[in-house]
Amino acid sequence: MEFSVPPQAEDFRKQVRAFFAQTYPEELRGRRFERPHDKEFFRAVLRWQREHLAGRDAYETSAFFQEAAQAGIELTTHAPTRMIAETLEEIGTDQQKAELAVRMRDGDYLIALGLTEPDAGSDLAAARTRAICQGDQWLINGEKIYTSNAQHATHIFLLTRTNLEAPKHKGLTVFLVPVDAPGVEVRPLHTLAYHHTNMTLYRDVLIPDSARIGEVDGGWDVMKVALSREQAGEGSTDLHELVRQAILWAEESEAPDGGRMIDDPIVRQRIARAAIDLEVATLLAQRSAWATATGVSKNPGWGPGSKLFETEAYARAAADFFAMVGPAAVVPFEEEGTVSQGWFNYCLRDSPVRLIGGGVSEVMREIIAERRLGLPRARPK
Amino acid sequence: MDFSLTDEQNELQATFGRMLDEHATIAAVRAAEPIGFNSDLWRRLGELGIPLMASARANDGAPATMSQLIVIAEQYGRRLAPVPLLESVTAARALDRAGIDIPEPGIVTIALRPADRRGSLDLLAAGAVAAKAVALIGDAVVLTDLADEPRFLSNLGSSPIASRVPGVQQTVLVAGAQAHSTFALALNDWKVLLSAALAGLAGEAHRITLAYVKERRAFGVPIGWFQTVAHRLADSINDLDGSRFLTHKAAWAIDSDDESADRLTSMAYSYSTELAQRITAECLHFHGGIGYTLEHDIQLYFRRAAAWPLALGDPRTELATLATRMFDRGRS
Repeated sequence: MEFSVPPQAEDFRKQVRAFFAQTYPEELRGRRFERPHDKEFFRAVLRWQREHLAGRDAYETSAFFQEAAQAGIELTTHAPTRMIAETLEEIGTDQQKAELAVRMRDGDYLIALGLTEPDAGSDLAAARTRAICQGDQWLINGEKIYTSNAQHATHIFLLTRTNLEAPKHKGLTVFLVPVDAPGVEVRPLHTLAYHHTNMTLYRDVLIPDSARIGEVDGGWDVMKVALSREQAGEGSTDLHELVRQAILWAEESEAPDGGRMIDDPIVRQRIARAAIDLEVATLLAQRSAWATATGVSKNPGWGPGSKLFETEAYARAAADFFAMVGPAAVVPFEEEGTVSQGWFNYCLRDSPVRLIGGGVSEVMREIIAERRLGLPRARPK
Repeated sequence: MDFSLTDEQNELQATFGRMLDEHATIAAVRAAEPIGFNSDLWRRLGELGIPLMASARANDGAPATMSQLIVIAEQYGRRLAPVPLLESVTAARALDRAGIDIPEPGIVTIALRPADRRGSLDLLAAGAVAAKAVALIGDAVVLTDLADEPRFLSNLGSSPIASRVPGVQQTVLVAGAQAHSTFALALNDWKVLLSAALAGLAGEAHRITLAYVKERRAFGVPIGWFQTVAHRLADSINDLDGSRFLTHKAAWAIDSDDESADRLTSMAYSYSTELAQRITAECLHFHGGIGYTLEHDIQLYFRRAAAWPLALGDPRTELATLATRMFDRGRS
């Protein structure tokens, strides 16, 4: 194994830092917990990623996301758009590649994922949102939940049921539905982590067949490609920033004995423990990015393992540091007297979201158990 | 960045793995209990270059690197090999740093803890089989004879530990201000080697248990069907990746003299010691009642995962060491 940081990686990090310093809008700075969205910035990031991030190694990829986190820049809107662009580039029609994927890479389109439903939860293939073929059009009715970023999106990557007779996974079809199509409604759903996600409702939405991705009833194959693009070395930025904030807090805070908190044996060991988890999380994410960059065949448990470890470690550290920093941890960022700009307060609120979003921990463990360890599948098909 | 083994690492893994598969069988491990030493196996390891390969002086300036030695240590842990591999390799590297040849014949060990107030090397790792030891005595790192006859001591890890008294024949490797920092380098080596051994040991316990839970049926299904079993085994395999990567990264840092070497060593050691204990306890547990019978092999792994780190002392104190290494740089 080899872990040296290539000399160009630090240059690249500087390049990233300069890019964010230049393009991140002044009025969004310091508003890190509200996930502000700015169209121009979104576009600039996607274009920059297309020009400068493609083909980068694991260090450089993670440097990009670490720099964003350190600058307080939220990039959650970008990942689904990139993920669907990559999906189309792999399995889209020539027309979709030319017209849709290119505009996603340009940042002109922003994609939200319309996958799970109120009664489905983690069981994505249980989708009941109905699409019925009407000549060369499709009529869509149903509802999706946790359609994050739909309020900013141009399109929704929508998983629908097109065949009621076929087995669960064989009757699904995916469409790319414009958010402004008549009959699409976006309703906010406010979360513990300040931002809001959405319910999206589809009432007699008519879309052309050209909006279909993949085969009719072949939606699950499309999902497999899309989900395999989900994990791309972005991991551990939340934990990275949390540990950094804890060290800053401990170095700057006074202990009851007049010394600094960083010299308190218990405080420093708690931070050291989280720093180990951060190192592990970083290595697991880098392994995935390394496999992607070099084309090494990936074990199906690696991506889920990386997601699982990072978010679980983040939740542990968030709970631990929240308590560690003392009474003012309860004061949120917008109030006076908060500690570390409300960072620990925010992370505590955010951590349950991370354990669930992007694949709940239990499903990650299921995938590892079934596909890496070859254990019998416990959940029903 | 590369997460695959190098050609050299693959070759070492295959060579030592094969030899240990053949000669450090569970039967051989059990037969070596309680003393924890098999002289035939030790001779065979010698033929493959243990510990001489770790010495630059014996290898025209090109010794095996830590990145290579941990691959061997992982195989040693996987097979619970009853030989003082980690201690002899650590001692070889310490001697090498001081420009001293490995003395022959006899095993040279490392005294992981300083001599006690009476001058005795208390529960010395490999003390029951060693002729000499590298030790920190006062403000000097020395190569010392061991004067007394070893008194064998049965112990949880079935390791050849024994309390010994340093002899009068002592060669000073480093004295004075540098002694403690030089000795810390040797401890780093041992910690990283033990981390690798524990990753190998816990990985093998996991493999045995995985096969068992697929086979063993209860309530009409294989017990691995139950999520409370499957999910914990899934967490463990993931965490084991973490243990291996931390260890490899620490070895890489030591080999390349990277400033992160101390910090990564403490991370690997802290994480791997805790993890191996947790995983082997879980693995024993998933075997049910048969797991705690002496007849079953899984207890061999459980015992060693808990006992091996104690050769140095409480592994939980490594967090304090890590904190010092993270936060006290440039202060003293």
